[in-house]
Amino acid sequence: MDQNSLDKIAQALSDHKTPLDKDALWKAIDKNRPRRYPLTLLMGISTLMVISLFGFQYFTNTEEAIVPDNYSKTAQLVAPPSQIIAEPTHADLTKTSETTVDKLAPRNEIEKPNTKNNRKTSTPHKPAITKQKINLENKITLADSKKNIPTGTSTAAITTSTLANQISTTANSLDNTIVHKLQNLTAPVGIESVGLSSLDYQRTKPKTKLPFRKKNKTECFNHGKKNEPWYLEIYGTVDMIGNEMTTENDFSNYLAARKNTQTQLEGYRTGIRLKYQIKNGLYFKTGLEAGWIRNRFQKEEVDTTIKILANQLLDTYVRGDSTYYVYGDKAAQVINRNSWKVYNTHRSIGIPLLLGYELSQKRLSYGFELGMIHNIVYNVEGIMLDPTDLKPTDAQYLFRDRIRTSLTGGLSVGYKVNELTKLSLITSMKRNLAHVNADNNPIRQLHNSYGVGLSLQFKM
Amino acid sequence: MSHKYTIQEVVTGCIRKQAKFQKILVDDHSESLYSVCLRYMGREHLAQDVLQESFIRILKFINTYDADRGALGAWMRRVTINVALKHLKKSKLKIIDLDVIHNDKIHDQPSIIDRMSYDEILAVVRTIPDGYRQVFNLAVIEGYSHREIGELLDIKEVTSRSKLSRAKQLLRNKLETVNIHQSWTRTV
Repeated sequence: MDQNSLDKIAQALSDHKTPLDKDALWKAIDKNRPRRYPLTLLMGISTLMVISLFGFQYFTNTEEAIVPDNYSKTAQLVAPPSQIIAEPTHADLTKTSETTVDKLAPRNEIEKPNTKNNRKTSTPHKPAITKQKINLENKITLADSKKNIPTGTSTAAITTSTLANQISTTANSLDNTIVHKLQNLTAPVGIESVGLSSLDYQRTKPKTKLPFRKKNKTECFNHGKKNEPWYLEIYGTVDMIGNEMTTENDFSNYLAARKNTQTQLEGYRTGIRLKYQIKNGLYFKTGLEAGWIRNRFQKEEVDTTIKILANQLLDTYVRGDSTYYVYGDKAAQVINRNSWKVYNTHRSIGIPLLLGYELSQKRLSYGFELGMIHNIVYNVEGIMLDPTDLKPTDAQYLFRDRIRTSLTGGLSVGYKVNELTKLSLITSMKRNLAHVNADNNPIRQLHNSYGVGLSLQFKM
Repeated sequence: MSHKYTIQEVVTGCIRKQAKFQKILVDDHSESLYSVCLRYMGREHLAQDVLQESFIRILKFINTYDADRGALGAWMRRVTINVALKHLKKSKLKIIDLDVIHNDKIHDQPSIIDRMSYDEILAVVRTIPDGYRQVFNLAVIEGYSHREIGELLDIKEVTSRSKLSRAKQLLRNKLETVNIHQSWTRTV
């Protein structure tokens, strides 16, 4: 075969376009083509993730977040250790009161420069309160000690006692709240529990940092943690779907055809819920739930037509040495075969309202819940038989855009991962109370979902 | 083309996964690529499967298309051929190597080819067994070298040459038969 022939064949074949059903091709490609996820879906998922992340961070940090708060108050209310350490020792009771007063007076003068030095880290009025508190303790101790002085002591001692009483009166005029806070702040470190005053403690351990600077989570948790009854739950289930289809007698053929062409597949549900612990294990939940129910539509149609083909070889016969070919019109049977294999999806979004009870045992908990889901969005994407001509058609117009209320409930077994997080194995049931079909659809269809899944719960 | 978009706009739209542009691409090129699929696959339903898969691959990897390296149609054609060859490999076609007959007689046959329609030429080409038809399509229609064909079909270069030779011989025999028939038709 020469190159010229080959070129002609190549040209004839390479530039040729064979007609085909472009719409059918696009439909087939459309199912598997790369597609852009809707922006709203991406934003929704991102928002959900961000909320979950922040929620998780918040819950895990709540306990610690309270601690520095108290610490900062401590730093403001109590003078720095260096200042307290610089406090003079108790007045010597064997000396006269004048001597004691003399000792007290210059001490205040000595303290002043220290206070000034420390003003960088404390508010102006608070160190003064600290001084008063510390001096007060000194003087009260002094006054109490004087009470034990035997009769016959010098008038100077009485003067000292009077002075102590005056100071004591001054102490009463102090803001009781602040004093109380100061006492509380020193309490956790166990100073008073061993019978020492704060000054005794500081004298015996002059160079040690104040213990309240160390984190004591248990103390802070008990003092500062609010026991909120709110929980955030994220969950997902895989569902087995019961699909009840009924119809009037007139459409029994349609019902049979629908059943023959549809195969029920699994469903999925996922959602986010807020849980409010009411009392003694009783709780209420609400949130948003999205559900998908899938089925497969499969059908094959064979359409046979008769076509007349022109100029066909009809017969061959030999006459003598010659062979004769007879050409003419010829009838041919044209078989068109159409097949569908489409995955239909029923999508729904609803607001669940659930009441439940949970029994906790150490790390494990067992619960059940019951309630309803108020549907706000429902749509169907896919192909199914048209009730009028039993031809495959767009399924969307055969279904409602809302399905009202569904009954829901479930059981759960939870495991407390930590104080704030709980992982649960859940079984869940959902039953539509109303059918999902539009008025033009003679089928009445109810979905029942029975699912198994996991839930993650965070304490707020 | 019944739309107002340039090829670059269509490609950009497809890279952005916009359905509108993806459909335009399919509409514009489906007929020519279907011809390619028919040539390689022989049977219509196989050709349709290959065409569908080819378009999915094209839409998926269109971001790799480089306009400087060739026309979009040629790139799509190449993808389609690769998919078709992959399908043929999967179907495990057994290609029986016949004896190589270097018997390229020069026949003056332009007249018969000129008279034949596309369908008739395609019908004749489709009578060639699959293994030879692949080589014939790649070498004669697509213009691949024997080295490239060898790489594509995972065969030796010499095997590619012998298969092409055999394909030509089979085609010539078939065309001769057609020529006889047409001569008789004219006689009758």
